[in-house]
Amino acid sequence: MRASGRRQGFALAEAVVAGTLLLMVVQVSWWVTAVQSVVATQVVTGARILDETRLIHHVLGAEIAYGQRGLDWTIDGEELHLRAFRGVAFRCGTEISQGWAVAVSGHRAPDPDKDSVLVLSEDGQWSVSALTRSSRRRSLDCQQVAGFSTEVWQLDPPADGALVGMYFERGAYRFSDGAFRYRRGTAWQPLTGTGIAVDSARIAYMANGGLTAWLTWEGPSPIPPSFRWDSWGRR
Amino acid sequence: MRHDSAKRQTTACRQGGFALVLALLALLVLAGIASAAVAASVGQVRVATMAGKVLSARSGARGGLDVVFRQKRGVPGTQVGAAAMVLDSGTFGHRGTWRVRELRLAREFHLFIGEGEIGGGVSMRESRVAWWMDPTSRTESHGAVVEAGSLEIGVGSDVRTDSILAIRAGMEGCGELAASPGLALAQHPTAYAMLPSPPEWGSAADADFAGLRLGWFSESMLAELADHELSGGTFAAPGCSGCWRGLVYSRGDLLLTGREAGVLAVRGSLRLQAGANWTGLILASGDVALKQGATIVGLVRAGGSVALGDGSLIDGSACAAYNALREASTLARPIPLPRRSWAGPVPPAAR
Repeated sequence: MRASGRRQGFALAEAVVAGTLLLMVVQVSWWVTAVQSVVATQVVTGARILDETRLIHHVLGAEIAYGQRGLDWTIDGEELHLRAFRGVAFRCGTEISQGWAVAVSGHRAPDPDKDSVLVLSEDGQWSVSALTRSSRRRSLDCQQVAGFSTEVWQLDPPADGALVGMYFERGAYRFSDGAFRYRRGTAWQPLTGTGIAVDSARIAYMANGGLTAWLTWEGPSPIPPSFRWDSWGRR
Repeated sequence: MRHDSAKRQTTACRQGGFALVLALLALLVLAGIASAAVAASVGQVRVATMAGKVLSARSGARGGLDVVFRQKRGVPGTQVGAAAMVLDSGTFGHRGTWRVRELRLAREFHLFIGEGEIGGGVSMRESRVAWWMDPTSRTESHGAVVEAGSLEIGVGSDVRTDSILAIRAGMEGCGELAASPGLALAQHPTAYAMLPSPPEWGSAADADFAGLRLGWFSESMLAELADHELSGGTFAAPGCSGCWRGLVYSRGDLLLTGREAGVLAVRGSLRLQAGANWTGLILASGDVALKQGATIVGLVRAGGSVALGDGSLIDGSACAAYNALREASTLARPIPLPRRSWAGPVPPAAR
């Protein structure tokens, strides 16, 4: 009986020690997990900020790359209004009586519902025509360049002797309601999350022909949350 | 006794196992969080690396285009509408390659497509419109032997139009020009016409083209490319009487005294002294005056008046103007079309 009692007491001590150790392990684990969670959240937040800033930087740089200030893009208030060039076309050898035979390549296909074309004619002058119709046509005599497909375009006004065309839609960019937004037509669609601090972001002219943009991300950030950069068109 | 000992061991094992499971669970959660953080970091590195490669490739494509414009000399090797050809290629940075393809869209208009890639990655493309002077087209742009604000012809002087395509001494053939159907001067020889409209002559929008131009070479480019740049006065380059001078540019009124040949661009007025002779093409922003016995063999375009003194002669020759343009080797180069030359965007080429 005595021996059995000793064994029971020993089991209780074991249980207390085991329980204490268990609590310690759980506490340490919880603490480490919490710290790791904070670190991981910071890393993910930083990654998101970098991603979205990179996106804004790329979009602004790419959109004004082929444009000329004052002619293709302007800043009205805090909005950047522009001809958003989406692709390029050059003339084919085939002469079409009602239209312009072209080889086309771009980030998206030309869309007569929303696109116009900046056309270079043989006298070296650029002019704008509306794209009223585009249709794929395979049997055209065109110089072969990878990635270019052949189409017949109808322009208004027609461009006689046209050599090169750059098709574009009219759009605008701005920072509003915590996001970077693009407008085509009337609706402003967000291109980023809504984490930009209110009244911290702007797009403005630069003295030497480009534009400058700056913004600050709200909330705690593991990286400096303010960014500022310059973008230029081709010079 | 044995039974109790075994029971105690089992209890201890159960307790140890319980703690181990919790610890493993905690480690699992930790590993998951750490993995997420590592994945985000690695993702950033990958995206940044890819963005860097794309930027480098795009810079390579742009740089290739710049190299072509800076270094390419001579006449185009392609025909209008013919297959695109690689104009030039090279390397840049670490494992970067670039090349430029040329498409000839018209006789003087070309589309250059620059391609750049890093280590076999995505091939980025940029394109520019180039103007590349064609002597035939430039000669064809003249509708008369003399194009000027006005023409005064003195006693015994003349503007001849009966030898427009005749080959003169010192000239190579002008068969390509003669074969061209676009030379209006050959079909309808005309002594005098008013100045053509921009972009052949003058410009309301761009001062650099307003006074003097040769196609899309502006006055400042003509000055930069000149084989002989003068600040006015007289043209006295000894030892080459009658030979082709290439492009001669004068920034001021010029007096010609000897026998010279080439493309002459004058910012101001030009006077040919008695007995002086110029063979080739003359472009002047001001007046052109020929003294008695002076001769021009070629074509003249002047922003002011052209006055032929008694006994002087302008012997209309498209062939002379064509040869002068061909011999002006500094003009045989592509240039980016002024004001707007970048054409795009051109997406990456599919591999």
